[in-house]
Amino acid sequence: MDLRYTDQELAFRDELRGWLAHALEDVPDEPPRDDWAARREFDTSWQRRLFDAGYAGIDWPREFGGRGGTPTEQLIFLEETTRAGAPYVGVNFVGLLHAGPTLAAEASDEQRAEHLPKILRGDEVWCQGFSEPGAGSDLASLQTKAVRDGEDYVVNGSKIWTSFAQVADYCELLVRTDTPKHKGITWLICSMSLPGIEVRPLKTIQGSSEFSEVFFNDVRVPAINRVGDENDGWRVAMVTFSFERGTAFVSELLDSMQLLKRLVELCKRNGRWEDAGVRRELAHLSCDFDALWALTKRNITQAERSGIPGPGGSVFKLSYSEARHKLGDLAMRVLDEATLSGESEEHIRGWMHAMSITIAAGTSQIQRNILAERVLGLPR
Amino acid sequence: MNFDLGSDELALRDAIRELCTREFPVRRRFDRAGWKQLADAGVFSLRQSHGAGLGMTESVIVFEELGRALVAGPLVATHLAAGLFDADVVTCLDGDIATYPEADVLLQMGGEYVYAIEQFDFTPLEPLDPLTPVGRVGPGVAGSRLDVDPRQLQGLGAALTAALSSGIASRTVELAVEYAKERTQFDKPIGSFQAVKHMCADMFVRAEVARAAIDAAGVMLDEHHDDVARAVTGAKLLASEAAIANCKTCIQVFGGMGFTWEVDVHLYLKRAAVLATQFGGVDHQAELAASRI
Ligand SMILES: Cc1cc2nc3c(=O)[nH]c(=O)nc-3n(C[C@H](O)[C@H](O)[C@H](O)COP(=O)(O)OP(=O)(O)OC[C@H]3O[C@@H](n4cnc5c(N)ncnc54)[C@H](O)[C@@H]3O)c2cc1C
Repeated sequence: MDLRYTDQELAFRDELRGWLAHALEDVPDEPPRDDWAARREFDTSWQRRLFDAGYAGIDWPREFGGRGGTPTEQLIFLEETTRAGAPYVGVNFVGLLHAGPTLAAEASDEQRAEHLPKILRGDEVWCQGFSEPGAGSDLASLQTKAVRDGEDYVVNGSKIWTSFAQVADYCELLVRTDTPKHKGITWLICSMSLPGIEVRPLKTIQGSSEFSEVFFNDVRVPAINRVGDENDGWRVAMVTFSFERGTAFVSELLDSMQLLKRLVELCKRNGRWEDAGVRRELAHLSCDFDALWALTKRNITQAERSGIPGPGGSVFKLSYSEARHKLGDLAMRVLDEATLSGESEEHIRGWMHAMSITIAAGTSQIQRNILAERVLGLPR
Repeated sequence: MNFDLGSDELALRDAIRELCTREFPVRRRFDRAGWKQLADAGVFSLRQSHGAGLGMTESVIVFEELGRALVAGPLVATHLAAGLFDADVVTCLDGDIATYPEADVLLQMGGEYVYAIEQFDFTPLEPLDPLTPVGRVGPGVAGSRLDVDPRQLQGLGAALTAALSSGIASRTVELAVEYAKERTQFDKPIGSFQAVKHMCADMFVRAEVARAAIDAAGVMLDEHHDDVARAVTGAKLLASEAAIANCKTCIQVFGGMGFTWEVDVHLYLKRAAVLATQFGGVDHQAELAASRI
């Protein structure tokens, strides 16, 4: 085992640091949470700048517009961009972190050529149409129906909790094409501009509309936009999940480490650091995050060997989301009456955010079921 | 960067696991014949140039195995002493308390010094862990001061102790899972009940996170990484907690059987409690981590 970066990786890091130092000078202020047009513009123009500078899709193959680097270089990229305070992936989350990787692993050459370079350039924003009102944890019970009619699938039904739907160009859409629960699902690439799609934003506990309901009314999706075979979509969705749970949270972890540092600084300023109880809890969280960073490196190594992230993703997500709950609760305690008004907004947002990550991408209970049944082999 | 066990590391791990399975059943007490077997297998001389010339990366892997098997004896101190002086059995003196006080030499570590004590008397005490004898040393011992950096030695000791704890955390997941598959209630294996599954899953998560932390600390010690002190502290903290929490959960999974002397789980719990106190307990590690944020 080794944790050293190679000379080539260090050279990459230095070059990236140099580029970030001046590239960040003219990044505008972040737009308000509910100005989705501005959010899209902010996130995609940063993605475009990364692309133009050769820093988009660090570990994606060159043929898809990526840099053709190693997963380790991708980690370095995340470390450096977080440390420098560069914009977060934002609306590019689904495209870059799980739809894109799923296409790279499962789609046809034409589909890859069509979408992957555009995702990397920030020209295409994606959303994930998996969950439905009646199908959350039990995702395979989904009912949004697709009926083959000539060259198209005609889609009817509705999705819910769809993040970025307001601004997405495409949706990774799971539809029912047959009755058998798991063997009747198909994975489609669905353009969000097709007639018959309606997006209704939902307001979250954070006060902004982070996700939406999406209604499909006789939407004609060309059958050539199917990824994998008809009725083989559950298997493809599992590939999507392995990326979503396996690697998508890495940049969040780095962000959390920064958030913790800022909370420590705040405590040092307001005197709470002198309280041994508070100090030790902060220190414990820093140990938790360090350990999760080590676990990330293990998961990346394993993914590099097998091509697809393994169950380490569920271990990571469970542990990481719990640490975020602790961080949020501690911040609220430390801030005390300062939480009553909008001061220290990032810590209050972070506290609420923690509550979404034990739910999104498979709840903690579902992750525990997965580990118990698929990794530890306990009976169903 | 490559952070999963490679083929040499897997071979080393398997060799030690095999030795432990063959020679060191869980209830084997410390004895000098067994100690010689461990010494011959290179457990203590692993990092010495006359030995295998390996590093902390490998030592951590070996100590995780010794922890899993609950091998008795002052493993960490004897390993640390291997590079310093010749002695078969070396243990640590903490205040006036020593575990395995029948050792040949006591290592006494302060903030600024390390003493090796060869002449001492002790009074045996009733031990928490039936397999870890404890004695009160003294009064009046004198030793020779060793020419070593006490902080460095303590860091290595903390890392190896964390590796033992991590081994316990991992092993108790297996014990709980095996039992949950066998034991039936309500005409079903108890492992089919979700409450039991989730206890096991949480144990697995704690064990895997702690193992990543201590494996990383081992590698970072070899690589003289800038953040190594923080990594060792974090690993010691998380591995101590994971071991104790997993042993307790394991007892819960075993039900009434778990509370019996006959079932081994309490031995893991008591060893985990002993290890947690060595080279700095959880609160001490948290303070160290706070000073390194
Ligand atoms: C911020 C956010 C963003 C999201 N973005 C998207 C998105 O972009 N696209 C998308 O498709 N989905 C998205 N989701 C949806 C998310 O995947 C679902 O919310 C999640 O899978 C849970 O489904 P549910 O909400 O229907 O809850 P339910 O499945 O109804 O669960 C309710 C409770 O019951 C528990 N439960 C359910 N089944 C079991 C079981 N078998 N064992 C034990 N406990 C169980 C759950 O753990 C939970 O505590 C998002 C969710 C959030 C919070």
